[in-house]
Amino acid sequence: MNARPIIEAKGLTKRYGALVALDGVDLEVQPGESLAIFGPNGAGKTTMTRILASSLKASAGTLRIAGRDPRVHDRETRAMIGLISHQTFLYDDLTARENLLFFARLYAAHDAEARADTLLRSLGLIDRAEDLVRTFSRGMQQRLSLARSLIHEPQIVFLDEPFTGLDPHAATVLQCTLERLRGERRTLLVTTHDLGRGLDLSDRWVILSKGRLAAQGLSREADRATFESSYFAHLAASRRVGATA
Amino acid sequence: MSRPARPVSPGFLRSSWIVASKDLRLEGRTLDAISAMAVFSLIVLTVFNFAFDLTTVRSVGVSKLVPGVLWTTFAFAAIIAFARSFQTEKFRDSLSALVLSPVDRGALFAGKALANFVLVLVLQAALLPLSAIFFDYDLLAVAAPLLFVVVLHTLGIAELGTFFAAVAVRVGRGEALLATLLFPVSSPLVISAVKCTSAVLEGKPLASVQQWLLVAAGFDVLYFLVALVTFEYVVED
Repeated sequence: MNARPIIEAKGLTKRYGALVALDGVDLEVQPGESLAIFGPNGAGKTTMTRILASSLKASAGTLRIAGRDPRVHDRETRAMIGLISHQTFLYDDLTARENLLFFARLYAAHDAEARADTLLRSLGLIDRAEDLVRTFSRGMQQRLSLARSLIHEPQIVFLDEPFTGLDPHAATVLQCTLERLRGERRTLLVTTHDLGRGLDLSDRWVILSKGRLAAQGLSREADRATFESSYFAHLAASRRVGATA
Repeated sequence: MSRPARPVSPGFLRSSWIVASKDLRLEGRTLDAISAMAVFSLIVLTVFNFAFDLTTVRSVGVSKLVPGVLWTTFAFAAIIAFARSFQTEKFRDSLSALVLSPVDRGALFAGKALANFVLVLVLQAALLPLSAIFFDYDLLAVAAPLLFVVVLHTLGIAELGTFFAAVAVRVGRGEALLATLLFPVSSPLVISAVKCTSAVLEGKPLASVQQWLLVAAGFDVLYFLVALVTFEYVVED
């Protein structure tokens, strides 16, 4: 029997004026589950991620994180969540270590310095710990951003297009780290255009299109070639509908 | 016996200090705001110094002329620090990370306001001796009451400036909106600052401007409380 979902969303809707970015999405994610969220640009992936991560308010619908209403238990909910976004959320003129310690202190993280060192070492950044972030490559900044999001040992980690702009080495380090997080039974929600990586990293997948959940399934049951062709066929169909509407 | 739950975030004061010390560390490293404020203030004071030569200053009276010059310079220069404090957060969207952290949003405001308050005080500490040289008045003789007046009024201006800088950055506007919002709302404080500074330079006791000081203290508290309550709505998407 499944445990109580760690994320329960019902009818999540987000409107920006006349534009409906998210249109009545229902979603449940179990503790320790890894979910890949696919969809074309503008499908509502980032909006959904930010609402689930409690950094954006929904226009309608209900959300429960670990059985609690994030609007009521906002600080406890935020303490459970780590988020990697398109932006790194880092300060260019602080060193890598200073960035991590700053965020660790905001989360009252236990043994912050040791935790920061552990993350810097595991992400291959320990030799650059005292360097300013402005001197880092995009891949290094993304790895440091991952460390930032994990500094408080969150139960739920949201990753919004984490592989975008990474070189192969940085992408491999990120993938290994995410696999380790899966091994630790943390809940992961990954939005990505990289179908292969998304399926590899997830237990379940959903496709978001025009703000709605268009399809979902189990990653282990997805035949890669069939999945890719049906995904692109689905995108083409949704574009045709959009063009005729 | 159950173990008490670990707090999810530091307390209000500690959170504010963490944010303020981060901002001050960044400024100490780059000197972006301070150097821009210093250059701007120096130019303004120099222009005023040429506009009002010492003969004019003495005939009009230091206490009539200098307070307006000083507080106009402080207010415009401070805008640079206020705007800069949120441009830093916007650059890599670190404001989103701050908002996502479990820290009380009021503590985020208090921390950023504290850092801005310190930056403006540093600027004032450099400008006041310079203005004493330019306009030939005895700063040491009025140092203690002037310090009190400056701290009391700068606090309110820093609170307002920080709040409106957050508003400006959230709606995607820059310093123009910040100035448009800040100057009308801070005018009671600036008028009070000019009146109190004028009295101090005339050698009058602070008791002679007690009402203005109470107005300033009242606005300091009011601005702080309003910002604490509403900052959450400003920084959330």
